[in-house]
This record gives sequence, structure tokens and C-alpha cells, in this order.
Amino acid sequence: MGRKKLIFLGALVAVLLAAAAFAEYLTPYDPYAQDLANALQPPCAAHPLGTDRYGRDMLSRVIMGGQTTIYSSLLLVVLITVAGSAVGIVCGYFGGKLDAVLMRISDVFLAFPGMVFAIAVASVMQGGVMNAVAALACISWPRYARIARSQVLTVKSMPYIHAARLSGSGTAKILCRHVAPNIAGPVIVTAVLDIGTMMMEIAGLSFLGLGAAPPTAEWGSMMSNGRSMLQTSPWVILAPGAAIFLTVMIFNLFGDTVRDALDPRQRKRRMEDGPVA
Amino acid sequence: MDPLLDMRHVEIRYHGRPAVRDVSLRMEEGEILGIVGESGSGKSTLIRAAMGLLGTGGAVTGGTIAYRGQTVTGAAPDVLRRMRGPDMGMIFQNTGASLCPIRTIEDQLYESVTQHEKAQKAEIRARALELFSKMRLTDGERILKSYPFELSGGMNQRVGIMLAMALKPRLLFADEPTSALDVTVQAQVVRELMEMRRLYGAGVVIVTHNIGVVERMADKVAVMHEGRIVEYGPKEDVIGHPREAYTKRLMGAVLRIRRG
Amino acid sequence: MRNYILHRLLQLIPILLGITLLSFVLMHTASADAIDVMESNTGTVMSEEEKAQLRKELGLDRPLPEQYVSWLAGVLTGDMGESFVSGKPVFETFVSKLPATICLTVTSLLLTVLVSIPLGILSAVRQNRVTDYVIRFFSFIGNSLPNFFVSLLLIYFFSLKLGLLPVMGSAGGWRSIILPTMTLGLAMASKYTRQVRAAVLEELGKDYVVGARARGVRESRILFFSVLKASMLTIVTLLAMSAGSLLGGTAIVESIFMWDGVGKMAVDAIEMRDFPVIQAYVIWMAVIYVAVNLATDLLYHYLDPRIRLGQEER
Repeated sequence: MGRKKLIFLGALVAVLLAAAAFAEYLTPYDPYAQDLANALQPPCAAHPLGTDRYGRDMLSRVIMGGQTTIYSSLLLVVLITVAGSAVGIVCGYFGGKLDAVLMRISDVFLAFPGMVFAIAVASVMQGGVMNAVAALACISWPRYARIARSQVLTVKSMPYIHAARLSGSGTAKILCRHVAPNIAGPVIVTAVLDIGTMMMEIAGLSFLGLGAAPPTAEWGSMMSNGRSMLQTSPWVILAPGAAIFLTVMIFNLFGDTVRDALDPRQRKRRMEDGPVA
Repeated sequence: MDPLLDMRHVEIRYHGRPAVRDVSLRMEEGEILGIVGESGSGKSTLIRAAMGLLGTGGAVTGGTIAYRGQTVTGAAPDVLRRMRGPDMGMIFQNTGASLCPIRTIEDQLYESVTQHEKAQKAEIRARALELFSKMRLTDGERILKSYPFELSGGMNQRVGIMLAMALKPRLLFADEPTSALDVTVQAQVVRELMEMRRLYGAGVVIVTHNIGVVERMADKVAVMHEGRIVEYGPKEDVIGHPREAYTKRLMGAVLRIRRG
Repeated sequence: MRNYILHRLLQLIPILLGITLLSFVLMHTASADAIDVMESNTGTVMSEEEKAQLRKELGLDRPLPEQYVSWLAGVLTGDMGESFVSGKPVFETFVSKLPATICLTVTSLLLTVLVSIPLGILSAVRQNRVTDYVIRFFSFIGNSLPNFFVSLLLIYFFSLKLGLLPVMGSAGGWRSIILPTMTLGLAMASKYTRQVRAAVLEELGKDYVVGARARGVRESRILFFSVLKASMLTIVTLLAMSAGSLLGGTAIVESIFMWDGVGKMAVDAIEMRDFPVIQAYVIWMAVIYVAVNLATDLLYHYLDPRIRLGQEER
């Protein structure tokens, strides 16, 4: 049951990723071609999702926007996972002053409300979707550092680490061969569960005009540009909104399934359901 | 008169897999029955079924269990609930874990008593303190005010006996009540359980893998193996002259440990 | 105990220094400063001399460390300076925005608690039955909706289609708080329903539930007096953290609904490079962070006897 679900959702995610990767070839129209004569057309046979105020085909823009939104959020998640766990591993394994300093720094970042800090960073860097990624990376790594660190602290005292040290393995080798693989589970689960949230945050920054800048097709900025037409042409908002919603939902479902498959605590609980004897 | 506990051809399944098969037992008022067997033999499952506490996935799929002539198997949940406490009480292997960790003993004592009878706090307290003094515990007041995590394992088992006996059940199930304790404390808890029978006339079913405990306490003994009763009879017969190979092995194991 | 609180308050100092320095540096690495932004916003062309003059008045011409130190000295004497944009004292501006944010925090937390606690409990008690699936389905949907989309959907249906509620701003009196509250409440209630469900399920699986059943305690009593009490330990901590982030103002929702709170103030100030206002906001955030940590510790101390008694023994 769980396995089938994982495969099904994995396939769905793969389809999304492929569609986003090959967006250029999937769009029925040029997503950037303006056609003012056909501006703000409601959904019809020629334009299933209608057109925006410049007469651009919404379907093509939504498909193209998927590329920006999905890949920038994946990039963001990879970035914070790698950077955060690297800091966390170093802190947890070596401890001492370095650990104290890095953890105070992460305290400072955690004290900031994520979104506002991202807004500040993004605004300083003058827009662009990569800046939104950088801004969100700045505020999101400490959480990963914390998770990795606490995992390392438990792994560190395990007998097999002592054994590796006694058998003369170097620190780098211990970290890569023994520590990193053993903390990977919880970190990966967190990362996969985070994709949906990060997607919403990137779109949120773009919505505020701090991420992808027009004319780049991006779901958040498309919605922001359509705000004034909410009453007269709601499809301009609904199309990218529904796209974000569905994509985030698929990634969230996928994340939940991956967690159920990887989280040993959940697996154990299922086994404990057996007879009490 | 109806027997205190009457099990006939009981079969229990967990998620479709049988855990107890064709078990028949009979107990009279004030009797002490020891059920011995290895872990996984179905002995705990059996007494949980008698109290209607099998939990999700478990069900009695055959036979009947009756308490003083009243059928327990298939009884309405609320009828069963009313019987748990005043009719049948239970002591767990780890009483500390069987109590809510963030509420005091006193609080949970009042709760379980007032679920079954109208009683004043002072009266319930007096009852608890009397039980403690029967167990030669003088600082009952302090114990009542404590949280489970503040008490030692042995002390928690006394609390378990007190909580069960405060409702004056006719039948007390004890599920490995001494297994988590030091040997010296084990002996005290066994003595106190026997006291409860002497003072209140309660019948006791003691489930354990410890033959020594059964030897000291029980009138009758049932030996369980893989969900079945392989030997059942008066203690002297079962322990003194075991007929079944499995019982002999079980005894042999204990004897070896004693010599070693 | 008093030592502990003192210790926590002392922790505030490095965080405050770090966080204000960080935002200071960040804002000064921007390519355009407050004067440039002002110029491009008002559309008036200023000569370089005029700009230089203005920069001098605001102290923007001095070296960075000097600016920071003089700002810090001001704060220590209770003077947070004036806004570059409005010229009004920063502290007053900030205080005037606070009620709106506090109001929204209270209403959306209330909505969250009122919705998610009953639904989470129901979902846990009816685990794997129709009720549970329906509740989980909706909370899942809520978790996948970005709040700017929810805001727009709510505006579309309630304001534009049905004409029931004002679109934005606080002009509509108490009715204008409904939509922002619903937006924030929906997201949080979805999250919390899951959390409450998980916490209650975890507690329901513990031995003490069987223990209470064995004493003949009613199911409802077990649920409300033992299980809920125990699961609220985690929920309360999470709620305190949520309260903290709401008190920081919700940039997007406040902006969309033109809700005049500290979140919108911060976004506006960032846009205008209004350093003194940004710094005031940042201080507020640090204070909230430490306060939330302190509050959760104190709550735990109060609610969990294992922690309370454990500390006293030491």
C-alpha cells in the first residue's frame, strides 16, 4: 500500500519535473508574445486558461512559470540542505567554541521573522528570482543546521564511530563515511517536506515584487500582476493560483509518503501494533 | 453459585492471527490462580480479554468468559467499563507507566473511585491510607501527593495495589506485577498481594513467567504455551509432579537458575 | 527561578547586537540608499549637491561603524531617532502600528485554537474512519494553499462576489479584520489540526490510557483529563511560537489587506530604506524571540511536573 503510493506520487513528481524542464516545448503559444487585440480573454477553446492583459496565453505562461517556480524551489532546498547540514555536522562533531559561535549566529537568524528578512535581502539585491532563492536560503539554513547538529550529537557517541576512530580513520573519512550517511534520513525527510513550503515562499516573495520580475513568467508574480483584475478577469489569478496549489499539494503528499517510508519511528509504531502478550 | 471466573474454550485473535486457543479455566471466590508461560504465550492477552482491554486489532473470536455468571465477552462497552474497577481490578508490570505522568496519584485515585461510586474525598483518602498502612507504608500522605515518576518501582507497585483495591474488587488480575522489581522488593509485593486476599477475600489471577512467585502464592496453576493451556491443576500437582514435557522444561530452567 | 529569567534576559543582549548589526550592514549594502529611493519615488530630480546635503542631515555620509555606534548610543538613551520618510519619531510610529498587529494576532490565534483543537481531537479519536479522512483532507488542502492565494480567493468571494465584507484597510471597522483573520487562521488551523491529531494519537497509544481503562474510567474522562492535558504540552509550545511570528507582523497578509500593522510597516520601511524604522522593527523581533522562548520555558515549567520537580531537586 505505502509502496504503491510512493511509486505513484514519485511518478507524479517526475512528470511535474519533466514538464517544467521541457516547458519550452510544451507551451501552445509563446508565453511572452503579446497580442493586445486578444487581451483578457476568458477561457475558451483557443486559450483554455484565457489570456492576460497583454493578450499572452495564460496556459503557456502557467507552464513556463512552473519551470521558474519548481526549479528555483528545488535549488533552494538543495542549497539549504547542503549548507545547513554541513554547518550542523561541523558544530555537532567538533563542538567547542566554533559550535558556540555558529549556534549564536543561527540564533540571530532564527530570531528574525523569516519572511521579513527575506524581503530585506531580496529588496537589497533588487529582485530577480535567484535573489529570492538567496534571501530564503539565508534564513532557512539554521533549521537544517540544528537538525543535523542534534543528529550528529547522538550518532557521535555510537560505538561504531569509536571503532572507526580506533581503527585509525581520519576525521574527514569518519564524517563522510560514518556520520553523514547516518544523519541523512531525518535531514532528507525534512528537505522533502520543505519543498512545498519553499515553493510557497518563493512565490510569496515574487508576489510582493521581490522575486521574479516581469516579464518572467513566475506563478507568484503572475498573481501579483493580476490583482487589479481580480473582479473582472479572475482567471488571471486563478490559473497560476491553482497551479501553485496543485504543485505544492503533490510535493507535500510526496513528502509525507517519503517520511512514512523513511521515518523509523513510524515504522516501529506500526510493528508495535501487534499482540500484547 | 456461579464461579468467580469461568472461561470456556476461549479463542483470541490479533489481526486475524490466533494468540489464544481453546482455553478453559475456572476460579472460585478468593482463589489464587497462577498462569505461567514464556513471553508471547498468550497469558497477558487472556487476562486483558477478561477485562475487555484487548485494544485495536484484538478480539475474542470463540468461547465465553463469564464473571460471577455474567458474560463478559460481547458485553456492551459501558457495562464492561462499570465492571472494571469495582468487580475486576488490574495491576500492571509497571504501574508508573499505567498512570498519567502529569497528574498526582491522589488525583487519579479520586478519579477512578468517583467514576464508580459517590464518595467524599476524605473518605477515599482514608481508604487509601488504610490500604497503605496494611502494606506497612507509613508515609501514605506523601505518596498520594506524588507524581508517578517521583516513586521507585516497588513503591509504584504498592500504589498499583492500592489503586486497584480502593475499589474493593472481587477479582484482581496481576500482570507480571513483580517482574520489574529487585528480588527483595518482589518478595514484599508478593506478601502484600497475599494480604489482600486474606483481608478482603479477593480472588487473584497472577500472570508471570516466574515460577517462584507462583509457587509462593497460587492455589492452582495453569501453564500456557503458544496460546494453549498445556497443564492445569492444583499447585502441588503441577509444580510438584509436572506431567507435561513443556512444564518440566520450564521448571528445569528455573532450577538451573537457582543452582547457578 | 529568578536567576533563570535573568539569564534569559541577558541572552537578549548578544542577539540584539547581532541582529541590529546584521540589518544595518544589510541595508547599507543596498545599491540605492534612502535618498535615491525618495528621489525616484517622488519623481523630482535632485542635484548631487542637494542629495549630499540631505545625506549629511540624515547622517548617511558618515562611515558605517560611526553611524551604527551613534544609532546604538541613541537607543541606549531611549532615542530611536526619526523616520527618514515621515520625520516622525520612530518609537511613536512603531507604537502606533502595534495595536493593529496585536489585534490580528489575537483573533487569528483564537480562530486557530477554536478550529484546530476540536478537529484535531476528533480526527485522532476517529482515527482511520470517515471523519478522520475528511478532516485530514481539508487540513491537507489548507497546508498546500499559499496565503496570498487564500487572501485573493477570500476577497474575490466575500467582497467582490457577495459584497459582504470590506476589501481592505481598517475602514470597515471590526468587519475588516474578518478576512485577514480567516486567511491566517486557515493556514494555521490546517497545520495545528495535524499537530493536535498527532499529539493526541501519541498520547492515546501510551500505557496510562490502558491503565485508566482498567480502573473503569470513562473514555471521555480519559481523553479530556489525561490525554489532552498531556498533549497540550507540545501544542502550547507551538502556539507560543506562532504567537511570536504573528506579533512580528505578517508581511504578505498585512500588505494585501492594507492592514496597518508592524509587518506592513517593515515592508514599507525596507522599500524606502528607512533605516531607523527598520532597526526599531528588528529590535522588536529580537525581543519577541527571547520573550517567546522565555514564555514557553515558563509554561513548560508550570504545566509539566516532571520539569518543575526535576529543577527543584537540582
